[in-house]
Amino acid sequence: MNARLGWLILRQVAIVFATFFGLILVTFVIGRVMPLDPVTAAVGPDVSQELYDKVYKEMGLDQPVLVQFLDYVGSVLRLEFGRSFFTNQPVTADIARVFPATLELAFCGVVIGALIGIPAGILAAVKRGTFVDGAVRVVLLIGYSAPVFWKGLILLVVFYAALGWAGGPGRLSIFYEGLVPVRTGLLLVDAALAGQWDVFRDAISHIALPAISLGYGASAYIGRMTRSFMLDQLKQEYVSVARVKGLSERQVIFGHVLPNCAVQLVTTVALTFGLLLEGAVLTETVFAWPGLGQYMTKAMFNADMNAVLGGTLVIGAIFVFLNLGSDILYRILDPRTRA
Amino acid sequence: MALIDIEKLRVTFRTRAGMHEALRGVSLTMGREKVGIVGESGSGKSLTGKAILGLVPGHATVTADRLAFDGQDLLTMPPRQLRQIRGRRIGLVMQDPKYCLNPVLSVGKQLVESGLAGGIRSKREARKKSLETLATVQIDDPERVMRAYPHELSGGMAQRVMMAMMVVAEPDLLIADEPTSALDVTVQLEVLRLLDRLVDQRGMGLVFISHDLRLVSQFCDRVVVMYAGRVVETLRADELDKAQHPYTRGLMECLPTLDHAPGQRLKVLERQAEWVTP
Amino acid sequence: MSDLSLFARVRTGQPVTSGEARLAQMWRAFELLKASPAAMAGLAIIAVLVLVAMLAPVLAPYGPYAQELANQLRPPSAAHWLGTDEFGRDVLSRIVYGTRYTLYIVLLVAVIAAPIGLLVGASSGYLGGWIDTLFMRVTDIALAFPRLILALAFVTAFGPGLNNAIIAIALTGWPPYVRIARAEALTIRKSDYIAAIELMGASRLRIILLHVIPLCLPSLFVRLTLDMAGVILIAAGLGFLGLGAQPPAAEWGVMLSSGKEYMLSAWWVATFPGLAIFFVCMGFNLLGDGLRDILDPRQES
Repeated sequence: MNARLGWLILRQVAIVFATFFGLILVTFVIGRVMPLDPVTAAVGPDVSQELYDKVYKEMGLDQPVLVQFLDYVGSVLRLEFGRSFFTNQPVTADIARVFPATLELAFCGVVIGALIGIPAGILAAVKRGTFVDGAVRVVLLIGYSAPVFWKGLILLVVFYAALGWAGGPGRLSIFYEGLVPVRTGLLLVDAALAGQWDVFRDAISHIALPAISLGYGASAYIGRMTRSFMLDQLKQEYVSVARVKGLSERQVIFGHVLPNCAVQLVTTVALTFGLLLEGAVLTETVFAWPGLGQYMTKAMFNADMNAVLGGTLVIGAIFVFLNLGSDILYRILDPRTRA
Repeated sequence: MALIDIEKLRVTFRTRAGMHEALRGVSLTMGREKVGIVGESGSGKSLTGKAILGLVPGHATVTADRLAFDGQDLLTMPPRQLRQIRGRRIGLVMQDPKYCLNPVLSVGKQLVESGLAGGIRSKREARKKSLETLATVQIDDPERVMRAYPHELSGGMAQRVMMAMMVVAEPDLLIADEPTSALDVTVQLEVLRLLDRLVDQRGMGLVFISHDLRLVSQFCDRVVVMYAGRVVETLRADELDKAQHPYTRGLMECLPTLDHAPGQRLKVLERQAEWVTP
Repeated sequence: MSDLSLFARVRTGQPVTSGEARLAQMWRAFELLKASPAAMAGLAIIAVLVLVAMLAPVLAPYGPYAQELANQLRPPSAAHWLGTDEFGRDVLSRIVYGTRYTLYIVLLVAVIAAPIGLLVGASSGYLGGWIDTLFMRVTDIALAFPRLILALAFVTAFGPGLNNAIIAIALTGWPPYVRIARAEALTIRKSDYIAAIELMGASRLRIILLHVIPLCLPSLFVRLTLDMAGVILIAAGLGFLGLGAQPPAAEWGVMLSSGKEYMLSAWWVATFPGLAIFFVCMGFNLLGDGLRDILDPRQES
């Protein structure tokens, strides 16, 4: 660690905070300044004038906009997003309940994406210009171009309805529901902790299809990036030097080229995780996955602004953190900046 | 037996504009001596070095009547055997050490790996050998340099590490492709002297590739002049003034000398079409 | 010179007017593009998309909203090549008409987002100083936002609907164009002819609008092409969630959304619109990759 690196990290942290602030500002604008009446959004359309006025005051809407905004920033920092009027619960509690399901799904997706994408990208780069390269690129491009919810539907029809290889919609089959005590909210972890291996297996068979539909898209992105990182590195002279040393092609690729891509790959995978949290919103609808995506979709139909904005802030904050945090990680991992 | 025996080496690149013949029948034979290859950019001097090592890019075709190292045919050799020749018997020092060392691996790791690939049995022995070699290229604190990453070294230092890396396996031939042109003028001479001594001490053959005719003639035994993908002339270094080919003569005439009269213009090399197709 | 035909002048790169020079440049780009079969395939897909959209009434065997309640959810047959949906509407005809929605979305997003990016980026790059710093900070912040989620939040606030969805997508899509335009403007700013125009006393606004912006257009165009696949996917996603175009619109996302209810019994209703989205995205991706390879030779050795 030296002073320059410390300074760069400090700068990056400042950018993270500025971006969080921007995110809060945008959600505030969406929630308060947009044409939709915030009071109606909070209490629903059919209320008496007195109640309307009371809520209007309670929400601080008679205050100047700046005061309203500062209040909003304060409550966001305290992780209070107000009440959801369709669940009639605090949005924070709702999100805490549904988010682990989304986290679990996105995590499985990114693992599948990395396991397929990185080797595929390496293969395509090493075999550049050959039939193998072309085939890998086409397969990746398909994953990149097909809508994630459509992939989900097709998988569901083929592997659940027709073949019966995987579990259907939801996180568990109905007769396994509620057998495992909730500790982390991550069903796979909870089941493993409780030693309930049949529940674990059932949960795997349910998460497989949504995770694959997310993971395929992720592998497309990760694979593309891996290929281009590898090609950039393969042009470097140290690669020729490694060959001159008498190393085998395998040693050259895995011992020399890949370590030079490692940092960029970590960043890419982190970014992909953020993208998958977004993609989960679409996938959860298809698989009736009781996560944040489904929660937000329901909230949207009910014009439940508090719930929508709360979800947006949570996903947005994680996204921003991964996006910019991976930059910090990048600087720490790279020996060229570490010195 | 000759260390290197090349006869009518041709390298052709397929480009969008058609076939481009970069080497058009290069012949060269050398033993454990110091041979300089001189030529301008694009004359094929670097490519000749790369062809000996089998490092010509994949979209090029290499043909030759003979391309042999120490009597072994490099063109028909299986890849595994070619790798052994590269690792144990031929070394390469390139122009810019900044790009030649792997930026994310420590110097020690790269040196030890080089030793292991070059036939040293154990990691410990390779490490010991690496430290010794670093000392012979005049690195003061080998232990510290072993732990360092390439970006922590100065250019001259990196080039010496590079040289150490290439001779740690005690090869029979070293190919140096413009080994000093990316370095500061002040360290150029030092690196050259070091190279010279390494080659002499170990009795290696040296192929020294450069565009600098005078430099090459100073410390090579023979000079090979290349132009447009072929060898136009081969001379003993001390008989440079007996050069026959107009290109070589032209090259020498456009160099300034110490007894050069002030105000007198240097000659300009005038190219003749027949040099390309003799 | 001028005894060559216009076509020959353009093709051989001997233009006599600036307009012809521009055409000649485009022709050269096209020649390069022709060398890449993948890019040509992409171009062909987009050409087909445009043609189908223009000729929809001729090509579609039925009207997009024509219901045949006696023929609900029929599998593909000679009469209905891609089957019928839950109202007995012909899936093929609806997909054919759906191309119009796709083009409408893509063009409108481009028309809204690109000028914002262009104006902000070109001013930022040309003017420099604190304006540049401010604009770029804001852009960087906006670039770090999750696009789909933010578009969802916007649509919720505006209310569901096709045009609101388009506005939401455009509002979250401008930051990359700012960066592109700024990068171009930075290089243009230093050129001699801009100095000459400044000496002639042209106003800054005039220089930005008439001299900087036109030169930013080619790279902006490439970036737009690359982004279109993403735009189509987000629009389809919004339609799928019921926040974009509304039923009974023959928009592919909407068709997928209503078709998913019948996925297990009538797979064709949702499968074919999905395939259509997939092919068009593939087309834009292939073309965008090809264009990038031409303009960014760093990628090719």
